[in-house]
Amino acid sequence: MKHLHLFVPLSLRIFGVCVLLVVASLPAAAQDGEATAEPNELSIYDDFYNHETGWHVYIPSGWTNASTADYARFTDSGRTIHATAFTNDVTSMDAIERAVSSAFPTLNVTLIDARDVNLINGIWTQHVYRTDNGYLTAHAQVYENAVYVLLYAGGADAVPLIVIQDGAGENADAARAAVSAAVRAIIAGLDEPTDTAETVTESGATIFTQTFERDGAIYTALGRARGNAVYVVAGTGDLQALDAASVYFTSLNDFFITPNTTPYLILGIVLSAVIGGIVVLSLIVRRQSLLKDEATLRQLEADTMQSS
Amino acid sequence: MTSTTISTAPPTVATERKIGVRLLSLLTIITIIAVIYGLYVGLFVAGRDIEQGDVQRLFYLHVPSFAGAFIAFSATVIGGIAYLRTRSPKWDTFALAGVEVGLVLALINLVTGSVWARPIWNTWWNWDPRLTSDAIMILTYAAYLMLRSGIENPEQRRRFASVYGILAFTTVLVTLLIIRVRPDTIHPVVFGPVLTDASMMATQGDFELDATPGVSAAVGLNSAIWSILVPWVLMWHRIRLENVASRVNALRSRLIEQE
Repeated sequence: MKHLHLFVPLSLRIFGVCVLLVVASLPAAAQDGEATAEPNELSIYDDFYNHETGWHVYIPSGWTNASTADYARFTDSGRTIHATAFTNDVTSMDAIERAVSSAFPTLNVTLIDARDVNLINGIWTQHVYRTDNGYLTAHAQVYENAVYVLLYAGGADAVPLIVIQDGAGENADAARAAVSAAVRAIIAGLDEPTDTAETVTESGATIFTQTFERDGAIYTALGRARGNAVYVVAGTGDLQALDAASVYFTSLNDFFITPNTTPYLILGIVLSAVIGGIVVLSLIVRRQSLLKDEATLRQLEADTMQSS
Repeated sequence: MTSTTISTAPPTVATERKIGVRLLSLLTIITIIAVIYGLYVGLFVAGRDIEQGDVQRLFYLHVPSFAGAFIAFSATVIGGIAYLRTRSPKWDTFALAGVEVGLVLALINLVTGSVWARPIWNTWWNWDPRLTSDAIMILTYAAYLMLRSGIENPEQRRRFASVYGILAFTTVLVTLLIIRVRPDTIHPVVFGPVLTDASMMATQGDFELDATPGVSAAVGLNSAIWSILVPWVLMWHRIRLENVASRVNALRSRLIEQE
């Protein structure tokens, strides 16, 4: 089997190439320079507030970012979006109250509407409060022993809220009724809308506009259905103010938490190590067994030669 | 004054073998250190993916192990072609080593993919085009080993294995390319071009290489280690094993003849 030993010079050449390629590839680890300087640094989305514990909230374009390491806070012309999280046995109800009092300590609030809304990123508890100068909307979600709270405070000109209405995405009547019911649930004393209009955006979504009147004051509502959820902004402000408030929905819908998937990483590494280990063990055991066979056969051969 | 005589005689087979063993030992140590270093970079230096969490770090085993399998299966093709041209058994051994090593690396690729899929796709397995082609690839090479061991005539076995090893490589190419052409796959394409826009729409668990610090460097380093060092070192060990097996078989035949 002399020919098989020809692998030695071939191996020499392979070895040379391997060493060269690995040495050449090692600087790749330093290619990211600053990026690799901080171990386990999270990937950063520039248009998101990224909290170190792994929750992320969208910063509306053009809004001022006044966040700290503890909470996210974005402001624009008297409007505020505030996001925070609580751990250690805090219920969603407690968390909302704590978030409101810490974010707006001087504000007196009265709960006027509470419901759960099922969005693409989970089930949120929604509270709408009457405040000294208007309304405050709060959303809270419980995920793995922590409560995440998002708040929107914008005075009386616009209050964002979400209602769930079966078939609203496909049925204009259902969506229209949902918008009207949502507005009348939080602004007491409103009759049927005095005017309704529908516009289709460039993306194909239908915006339902409704106008209400109470004591000579005009209230406007903008509604948009996505699946079973109807996103409504209502208030005394003009369409521009309502539009500005509706950006809160983007922060809410794009809110996400980096999941804890470490156990799966460990499982993958362990299984890979097990497969690799079995192969190495198999190579060693088979080789030992063959070497033992070879020694026995050589002994046999020598004995046979001697006896003959 | 002392004089030194330099031998100009060619190295003997025994000397070459000794050099080879030392070299293999050295290369094995380098490979172990490199694999551990690569894992360290992937686990502790590269950034954590913002959407998937730590499980995304399986990327540093999942892709490199497929790269290694690709190299090993390519070696089988080279071994098969060379055997059919030269009829030298060493090339058959080379091809066999490529299949065994490739199969192991493909299994690591499959297992890490399955574990990664659980939290991201909410399933351990589905019959997605990429997953299906990968399973077919693994079964094709597993069949190579089974069919090969079923043929007793050495010449016939080597000829069959060479042809099979060359043809089986089509499953590797299909697995590599299928996510780029099939619109209904949920397996993301992280590297290279996509030939249909639809497949980008169907993918789940996608991420951008540049979005997280250190991902490109970590996957580059690990791919280099797993496609250069790991398959060659394992194949070399497997070839050495086959050399011993050949010696044992030759001895056994001799003894039978003597009897």
